[in-house]
This record gives sequence, structure tokens and C-alpha cells, in this order.
Amino acid sequence: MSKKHNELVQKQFTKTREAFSVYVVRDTPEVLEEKIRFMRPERGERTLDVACGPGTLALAVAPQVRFACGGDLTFAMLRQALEFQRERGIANAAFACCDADHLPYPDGTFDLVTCQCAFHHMQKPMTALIEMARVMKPEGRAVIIDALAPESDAKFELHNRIERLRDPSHAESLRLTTFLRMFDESGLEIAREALRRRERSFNRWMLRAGVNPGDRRYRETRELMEQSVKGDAAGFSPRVEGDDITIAHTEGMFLLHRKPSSAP
Amino acid sequence: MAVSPELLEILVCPVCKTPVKLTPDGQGLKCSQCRRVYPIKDDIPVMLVDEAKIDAE
Repeated sequence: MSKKHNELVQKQFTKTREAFSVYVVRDTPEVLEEKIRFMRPERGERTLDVACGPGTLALAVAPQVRFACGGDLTFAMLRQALEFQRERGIANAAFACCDADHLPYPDGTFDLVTCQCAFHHMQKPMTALIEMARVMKPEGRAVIIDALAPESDAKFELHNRIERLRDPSHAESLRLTTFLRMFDESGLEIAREALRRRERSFNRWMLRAGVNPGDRRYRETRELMEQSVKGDAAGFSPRVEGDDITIAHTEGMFLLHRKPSSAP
Repeated sequence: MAVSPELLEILVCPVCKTPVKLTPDGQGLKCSQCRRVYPIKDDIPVMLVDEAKIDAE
């Protein structure tokens, strides 16, 4: 990622650390459990969660594997992760501050490499995916989970405009077809996939980005979201309900193996 | 809580992918290839190129 974009991501997530990790968790315990089941962690495995944020996934996976690592660009998130780790007394997890474009691990280190809800923050998602594949063991697997953008050009543009207005560190939500092309070009193939519709409150979604109802950014984002109701112009399926709006993201979950021809 | 020994065992320099070693003062991780020293802050290795200092020797 460029230095400028990295700084934008670090600034955003340092500011929102508390909201992001404590007050407005993205996943309910049931959704987190569903994601872990999808990843199929095993007792003897060493895992890495890329862009781990406050360590939610890495710490939830740790009791089921031998050793769980987490890495994130934002140092404040990792301090939070370490705090959670100490509170829960988890011994077999560790965190390092790193850039997804330059992972500080040798080739073929991990049985399972995961990355959830972070590709849309990356300027060079393909570079990160190639890095994930590099540090994965030849017989290992990668799991990518992220919100998918609408396929139509007009909806795609407005969808990402709203996302960027809410959170300036948002780079671009990718289309399903883009993910499929990236997997193919990085030598990975899908072993299992699932699409999930995740409904959420607009107000809580904004709060998680550190934006309160009194803020100008809240008003501008809400205005665009309301304008998109007609014809679902941004693909959020918004429903205005009193002071709030119920919106939905389509989340793609992909379990990937190395293509047989790509195995070293 | 010190840095996990298993993490120290697998960490490499993000630039040249050479294993890094703890500096004598325990405050950093040094790459023997490019001599970059990555700081350890609050028990968290900071493996970012922009945060590294290149050691003279």
C-alpha cells in the first residue's frame, strides 16, 4: 500500500479502536462462530489472521489450534488485541504489526491464513492475496471474507462512494467477479464458498467508523443512503425505520486451496 | 508478557525475508541481511519498513 494510504488506515483505526473493538462489534458471537466453522481450524495447526484488528478472530481461533498469529497495520489495534489476550489468559496467540503487502514470515509457514473484512481497505488487494498464498503451506488453505460490491457499474460507484464517505480509509469494495479473477491469477482455487446477507443498523455501522449522528459526515452519508432507497441504487437494500436505516451487505466467504498446478 | 518465542522463531524481515534476531538490549529485531532493526513496542514487534532503522554494523 502507499505510505499515504497506510497512514489514512492507521489514523482511521487508531481513532475508532474503542468503537470498533468494544462498543460496536461487527459480528455477533453466532456469526463469529459460523466463520470459524467455515475455516475448519484443526488442533495441530499454525494460523495467521491478516489485518486482524483487535484480534477477535485470532483469539477465537486460538483455543482450537496449536498457535494463532495476528497481524495488523495499526499498532493501537494490536495493543487492544494483546489486552484482550491477557484478559482471557490465552497463551498460544501472538501479534505483530505488519503490512499485508509485505508479510514478515517465510514461505509456507501457516496451515491456515485468513483475512476478513479488510480487502476493501487495501489499495493493492492482489499483492496482499499473493503474500497470503506465499506464507501458506503448499497443502494449506486461505480464507477470505469480505463485503461484495454490486456488479453493475452505476451501483458499484455509488456503493463505494457511500463507503468512502463513511470511512475515508475505505479503498474499494470488490465485486464477486473481481475476487474470482484474483483467486485464479494468484494460483488459488475455491474449495468452498458461501454468500451471506448481513443486515445491520445504519446508525451502529456509522458509530463503528467513529461517526456520530451530529457529525457532518453522518448527515452526508445518510443523505446519500436515503437517496439510494429508490431502485436500491447502491445495493445496500436500505429500509428507513424511524431514526435508523436497516442496510445489508452481501458478505462472501471463500475457502481457498492452491491450484494443483501451482504447488511447488 | 514478553514476545512469544514461537513468533520470534518464525518472524523474518519483510523486505528480504531473512530471519530476524533479537538485539542484545531486547528492544528490537535485526535482519542480518539488510541490517534493518525493527522495534518491539509494548511487547509487539513492529515489522514495518518505515519504522525500521538501518544499523551501521
